[in-house]
Amino acid sequence: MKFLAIIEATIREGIARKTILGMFIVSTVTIVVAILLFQMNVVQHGLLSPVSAHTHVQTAQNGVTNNASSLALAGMTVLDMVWMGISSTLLFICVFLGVFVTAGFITSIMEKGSIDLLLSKPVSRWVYIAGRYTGAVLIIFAEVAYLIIGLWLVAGFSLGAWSPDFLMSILIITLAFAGVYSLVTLFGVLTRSSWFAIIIGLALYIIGSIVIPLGQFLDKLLNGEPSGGMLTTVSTGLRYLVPSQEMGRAIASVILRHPINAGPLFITLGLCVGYVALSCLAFSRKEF
Amino acid sequence: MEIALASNNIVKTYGTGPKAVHALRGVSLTVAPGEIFGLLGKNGAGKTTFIKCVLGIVFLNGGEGTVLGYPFGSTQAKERLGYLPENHRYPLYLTGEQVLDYFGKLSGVREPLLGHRIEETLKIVGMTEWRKTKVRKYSKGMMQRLGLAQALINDPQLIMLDEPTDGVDPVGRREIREVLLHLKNEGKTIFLNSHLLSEVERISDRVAIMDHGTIVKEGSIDDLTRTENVYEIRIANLTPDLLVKMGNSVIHADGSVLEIRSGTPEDLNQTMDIIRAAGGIIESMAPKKSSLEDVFVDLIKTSEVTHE
Repeated sequence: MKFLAIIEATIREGIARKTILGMFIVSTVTIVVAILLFQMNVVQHGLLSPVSAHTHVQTAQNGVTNNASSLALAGMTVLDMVWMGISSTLLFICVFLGVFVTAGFITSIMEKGSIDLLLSKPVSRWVYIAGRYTGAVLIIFAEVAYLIIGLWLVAGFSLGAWSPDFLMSILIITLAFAGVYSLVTLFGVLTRSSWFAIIIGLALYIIGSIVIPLGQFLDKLLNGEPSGGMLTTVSTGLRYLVPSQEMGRAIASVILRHPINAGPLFITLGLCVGYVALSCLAFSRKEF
Repeated sequence: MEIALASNNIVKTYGTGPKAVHALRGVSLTVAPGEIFGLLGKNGAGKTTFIKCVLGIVFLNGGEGTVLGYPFGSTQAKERLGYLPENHRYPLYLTGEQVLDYFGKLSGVREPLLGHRIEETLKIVGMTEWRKTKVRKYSKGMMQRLGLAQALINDPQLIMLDEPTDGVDPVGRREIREVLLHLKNEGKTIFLNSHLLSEVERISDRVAIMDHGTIVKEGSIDDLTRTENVYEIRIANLTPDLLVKMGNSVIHADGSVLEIRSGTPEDLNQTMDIIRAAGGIIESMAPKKSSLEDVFVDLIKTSEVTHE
């Protein structure tokens, strides 16, 4: 019950800060624009047409351009490509925007005047951090779900194309956010500064997103194939330490109905658990 | 009956090395159940740090203590405690009722009891009509009363209050005092942290005076304010002649009131006999008491000299 009370308080704080309202408005506007677009015949026709085998598609994965022919696009429609583009964009926006609007949830409980009161209650310290973290993730999950389900329904009713795979991106985007937010939580607890936590959390995310694929790319370029050398070792090691944009690849796989590499998902899940546990430990040992 | 609060040689130091701040240097005190205990001291004396140690907000460097039979900072102890911190802040977007609901849940109070407790505590602090108003619209006095309601939400056995009347107007102070006395009558133990001596003097059963992280004096208000062997006698018809007859026993004369020093009860009776024999009419006689403020200032001055 205490855990739920903390989650409830986090959501109330989100409502009071207009965080939830702001994101809800942006999502609603996006859905309305989609409704208007999907009513147009030319758009409907274009979206439902199959993808040309020679089309070059810029996927979000690793920032590297891949040839569509290598993605086995047979049977795919332009709509599938649009879903992939939307999901990848949302992944980026939700991680960055989400971190900005939720970082304060962690540091606000450590403000003078609040923390004494909270720590005087018969609640284990880790419950506050876990509760706040869960509340923030739930808020982002609800916002992402609202937008993606909204777009999915618009496309379904307008085009008659129901692609349930697109809905899977709700979980993947939320997981990507949760990974970065776990880092922000840790630095928020350690420094009590929202801005510091945001900057460090996002910087590590960006570094991870650039360095990991870059290391693998350079290794391949220099050695002709992944050599297992220093570059690969560093980039592989980083995968287990910082959240990266490898989640974009998972989204692409889901939407294009390719087998999903569950590795990045489990690594991100592990990072969430690890960093939140570290945050709880740091908070439990902190004096106020 | 178990002791409400007992601390044994509590030591707390912030930081290390030459910049270390020795906030508590071996604090030992006991609080009996059902009493109002006042911890007095200047700002920075270590009063708030002591409460933080009791609640586990900071960790001890030495010593040990129990609250209601449980170790300092333990969950079992906190379940039986209520706390009103100094400069407390509640989420401004919540109403008074929502604040109590939140902190009630954190205190482990479950529905339907929580609803009853919210009603009851709002009634005790006189905030029932403001229950649906957002906290941002509350005055300082209302915030203090809400804070008090929050501290009472789990029906605690021991209530710890850190400067509860700070920034509150005289009417508000009186109301808070009345609430505290009401709680004492209900059998609650109250630990009051304050630098407002007159407030503490009015309602406390016992006090401890703290300075530089140590307890320099502890006892009942009567014990602390009693001046050894000095009595005040009010005489209806005090004359210069009578004063001469009383000799060196008179310390001070002010109008019809005499301050006399009397080493033994026999000496005191002898003085009374002299007054009566000279035709003096005694209206009243009582041991002289200093104000708590006088005692406090004297002790702090002595303590300052010691620390210098």
